[in-house]
Amino acid sequence: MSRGTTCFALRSSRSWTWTKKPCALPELAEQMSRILDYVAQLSAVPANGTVKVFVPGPDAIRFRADEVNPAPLAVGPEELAPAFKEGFFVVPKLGQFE
Amino acid sequence: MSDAKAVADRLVKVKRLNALLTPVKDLRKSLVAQEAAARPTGVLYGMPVAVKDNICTLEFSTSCGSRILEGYRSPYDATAIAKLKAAGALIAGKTNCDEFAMGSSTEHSAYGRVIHPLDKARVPGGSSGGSAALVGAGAVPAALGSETGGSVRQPASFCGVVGIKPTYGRVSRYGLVAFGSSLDQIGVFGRSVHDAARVLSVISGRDARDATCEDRDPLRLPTVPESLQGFVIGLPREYFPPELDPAVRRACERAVRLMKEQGAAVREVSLPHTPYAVPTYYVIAPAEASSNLARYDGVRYGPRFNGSADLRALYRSTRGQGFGPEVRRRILVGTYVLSSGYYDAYYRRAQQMRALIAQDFRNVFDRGVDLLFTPTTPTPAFRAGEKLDDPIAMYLSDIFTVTANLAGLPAISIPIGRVKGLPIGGQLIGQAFLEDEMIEAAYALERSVPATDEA
Repeated sequence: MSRGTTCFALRSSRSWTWTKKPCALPELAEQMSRILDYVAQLSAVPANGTVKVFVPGPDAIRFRADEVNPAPLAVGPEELAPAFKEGFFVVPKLGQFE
Repeated sequence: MSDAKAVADRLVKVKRLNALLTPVKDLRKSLVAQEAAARPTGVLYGMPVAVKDNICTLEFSTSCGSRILEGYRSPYDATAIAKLKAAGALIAGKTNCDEFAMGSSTEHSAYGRVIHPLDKARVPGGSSGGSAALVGAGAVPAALGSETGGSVRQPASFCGVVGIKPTYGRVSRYGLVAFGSSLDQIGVFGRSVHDAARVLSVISGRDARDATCEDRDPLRLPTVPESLQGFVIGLPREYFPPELDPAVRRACERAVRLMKEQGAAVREVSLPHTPYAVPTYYVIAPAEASSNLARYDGVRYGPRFNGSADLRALYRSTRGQGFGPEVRRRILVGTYVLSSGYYDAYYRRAQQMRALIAQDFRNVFDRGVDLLFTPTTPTPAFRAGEKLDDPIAMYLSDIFTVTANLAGLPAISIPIGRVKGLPIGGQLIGQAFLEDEMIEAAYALERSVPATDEA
């Protein structure tokens, strides 16, 4: 791969991904590939999920489940603005005040 | 001449190291004011302590060695800084470091590389290289650094000073700019074990502002033991591989002999998952960094890089121009390993491996071993530029230090000899929250080891 061509390669241990962009990044791509190949050694870990995740720090600290949750607002978002429709705040268009 | 002025003069003398980011003129003025305001009954009264540039201070800017925070002034002191001030210490300026503490040589700072205090062609280690270099050059007796994967112990080893990384949760992280939140911990450099331990004792203890800080009293300083009778020291075989630098091995063997002569029982032990520690670290730390560094967008902190047509372009130009190459690499790796389809292959596996590494330590400590002794680094300080184009080679200079961060354990690096004039460090790894035991053994080792003799 030469400098200045139209390529950016990001290689994981499994695949190459190419994007057509002016290629200012071949060195970065090469380094990224090597880093990802290096950390791929972790596939030696059994993937059965029986190993409990280790968390340092006080036992009292408990992480929430790694999932998307609704924002923990004390009141619903519909109460925070004069108008709320289909999940969005309804605001006047700029210029309507003029 | 007052002490404050003498401190400023000493810092001027080592300007060539590029270790201090605070302009000396500002520092001189601040030191005089701090000295006048310091509490004379404080246990660190008048002690100058330099501070790594990723720990927030009211007096000086906090740039994290990055252009993206150039000139940023924190509106508050980190808890560690507030505790130092309350103890009468003088904050002796901010020290140069790898950008956002990402690096092992302090060559990744936007403000230029730090020079090794004994050899200008070499690096002081990193990422807290500025703090280590200032202590190594004798400009200050102690300095604060931060550890995510060895950023205090590795430069301490390279610069011939003592470096302590406390147990995760021993020192509040409030005001420490976040890099890898499950790994980060403020650490201390000192000319001696006693200097470092005194500072650690002051900054440790509970803090309601940091939920990951343990609800414990500050560390009580142990006394210097008469012998090491009753201590069982483990030598993990994975830390003494055949390819270890022969001089580093000789220095370690001499230190082990000296510990035995003082009555310590020494046993070979095994931490079998050690070979996976660096890859584990280089998944978890970038993953956490990619999330933590999302806040630097040109809107909330620091300078904004102009020429942006819209919000997205503003983010792109600020982050593109504000972050240096190593930070960009780690953000890219972090977002990649967290992305859909790769999360299980990289991040989840790394978390599982982290648990196995922590279990290795528990197994050894459960079998009656009190402390582990290892080399701190595989080699003495390397030449500037030697590993810049090879991130993996750079990462491997932390191979003996990352495990303590992954397992959240305390560890200390002590100078144990020299190779062709360059310092080598030996590392003691202790059990969680048993820093006092670790420091006791360190006192005994420091007392007996000829730290400036060739190994």
